[in-house]
Amino acid sequence: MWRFILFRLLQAIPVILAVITVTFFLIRMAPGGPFDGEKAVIPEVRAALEAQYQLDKPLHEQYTTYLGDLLQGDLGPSFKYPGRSVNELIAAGLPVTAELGLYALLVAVGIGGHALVPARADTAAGVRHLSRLAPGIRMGRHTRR
Amino acid sequence: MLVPAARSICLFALCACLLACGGGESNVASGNRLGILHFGNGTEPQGLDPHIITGLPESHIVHALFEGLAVKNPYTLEPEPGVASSWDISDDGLTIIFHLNPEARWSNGDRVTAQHYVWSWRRALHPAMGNQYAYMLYPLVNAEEFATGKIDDFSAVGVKALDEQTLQVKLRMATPYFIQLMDHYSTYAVHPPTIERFGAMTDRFTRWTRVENIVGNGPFKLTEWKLNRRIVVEKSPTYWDADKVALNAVVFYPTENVSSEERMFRVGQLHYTQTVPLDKIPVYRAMENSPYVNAPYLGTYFYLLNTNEPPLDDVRVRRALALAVDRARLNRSVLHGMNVPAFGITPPGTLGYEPPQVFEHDLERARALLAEAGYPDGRDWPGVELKYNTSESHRKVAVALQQMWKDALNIEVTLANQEWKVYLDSVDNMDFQIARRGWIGDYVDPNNFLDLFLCDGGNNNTGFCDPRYDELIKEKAPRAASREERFAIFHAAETRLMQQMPIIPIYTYTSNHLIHPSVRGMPSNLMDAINLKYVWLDAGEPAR
Repeated sequence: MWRFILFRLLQAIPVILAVITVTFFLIRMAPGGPFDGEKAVIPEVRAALEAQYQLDKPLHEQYTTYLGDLLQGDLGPSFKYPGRSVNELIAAGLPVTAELGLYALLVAVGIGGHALVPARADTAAGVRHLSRLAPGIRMGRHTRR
Repeated sequence: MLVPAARSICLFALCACLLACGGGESNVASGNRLGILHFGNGTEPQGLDPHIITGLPESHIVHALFEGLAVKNPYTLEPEPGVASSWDISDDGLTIIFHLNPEARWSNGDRVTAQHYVWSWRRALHPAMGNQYAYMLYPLVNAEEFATGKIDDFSAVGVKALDEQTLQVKLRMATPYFIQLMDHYSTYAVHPPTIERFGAMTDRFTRWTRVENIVGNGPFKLTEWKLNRRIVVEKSPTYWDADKVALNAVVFYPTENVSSEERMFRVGQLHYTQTVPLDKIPVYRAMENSPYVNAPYLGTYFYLLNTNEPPLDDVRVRRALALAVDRARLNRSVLHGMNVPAFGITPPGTLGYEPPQVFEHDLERARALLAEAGYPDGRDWPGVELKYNTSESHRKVAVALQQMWKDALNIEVTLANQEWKVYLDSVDNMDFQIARRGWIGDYVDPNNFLDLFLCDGGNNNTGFCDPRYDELIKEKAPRAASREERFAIFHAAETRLMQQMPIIPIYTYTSNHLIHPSVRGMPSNLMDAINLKYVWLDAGEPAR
């Protein structure tokens, strides 16, 4: 069991690395840039912005810097919210997401749990159908797969 | 078994509902009592640094936290004193002396000085700053040269502090709308010691705009900034005109989802919404004492035509396309009667300027023009592609026009939608035949729309170049002796533009808001500009 988990975790490393690499280069290959807008940006302003975000460096250098930062847990500066880091944005959003997820889980377990008992007792077809719709039961099914 | 199971499910659902619908006083009711305006602000602001931001949600907050040398009167849009209590303009219009109000203070109590303006404008223009609105200060002598790195010496730029309270500005040429620009955030002063405490002058990644650090000079000060939740500003005691500020606080909500924003308004969580969902407009229109407010806006929705490529290199084809569009019908059907049909690039009523109407919906003439161009009844038509950025409303307009062109001229126009950044790239590289475009004015002056189509205009994107047009806009208009004469020159220029038709104007935007009846001092105007200093809440109005 523990060997299996360890094996899976080790397997994840090349997968994550591949995902990071592919997304990094895909984003940079896509047309347009982070500073494009409906109003044209003059070349001098664009150059200044690219310099501040280190986008003026060669692509391989950007990639190694990005990977290095990532290893240290630094997701870099936000392009959308200047002056904020991606870490900070995630930290601000995570409690909200967790809170919402908790409520969703409570509702799912609440309804699912109540519906589960009669469904297992196999007495009422109507409730059995309802129980299949309830997310609590569906979660059970997912984990089995 | 069924009955207890069903009962427990019902019980659980009831508990969940009770938990979700907490009772108590609505935001609007408590806000009216306490003088707190609850403001739907569209999205989370990208930042609050006046020399970095570019968007509307940011500008609402920055206008509360900072103040320019002059501010806009929300009723007339004419400039009135802000940090500067008065200004003198020389007869040739080239020198302006701003007299700063000795009472103007930063929120930490420091006095706002002319030197702060010199420092701030250097920052706003500095090439390393990457300020996308640096061009707002280009009317200054040598400002463009400094911003583009052609000169390094800022003392050559036309701004000088004569003493603590006197700021001298030298302009390249007379710029009648220059005072108006003083209300644009990119020309605001920032507090130099605060910026320097948290980083270099031109550093974009500092923490100086955080609640605990920011120092502003506006009617309000920042007291809370919860990312993606709310931003709270409270009345600033150090503001020079604090007696006039009626609101005690304003809460800005990032209401990105327009349907939730409308629901928030309905249940009394908001006094003001940024917009109104399209499908709700008829409902609000039909309402008695409707909170729905619709007013013309300083923006034009139009199609760019690539005049370098056949068949659109032929002015007759361009005119035929423009004449075949039934704007009134489009507005009635697709746009819910919400906008104003446009026949020029400049929105009507821009400080009294009315654009010329050189054409109208005329199918006979459109067919004749197309025949003259060599495509009678659409024969031998090579086909044209219309590009727009992916959006349901742009698609609806494009489909309607495609059908109008098919019906009226028997020509095929294919539609292609592109993701926003890809679309911008296409437009920028003129990789299109017809492309959708919207332009929102930064200041109320026809120049802001007409200078788009100068030969070297960075946002021209049509290939249109008419030296006579350039001469009118660049040489003649700035030298006009009066506003009437200047507007007459613009009128002549816009007439030339629309005769050559490098664009197809479609409609003038409108602003659409839901405003609670208790909100006062928030008149509709062409810039959709709100001066929070004027806003007050009538507690006598019942909250719904």
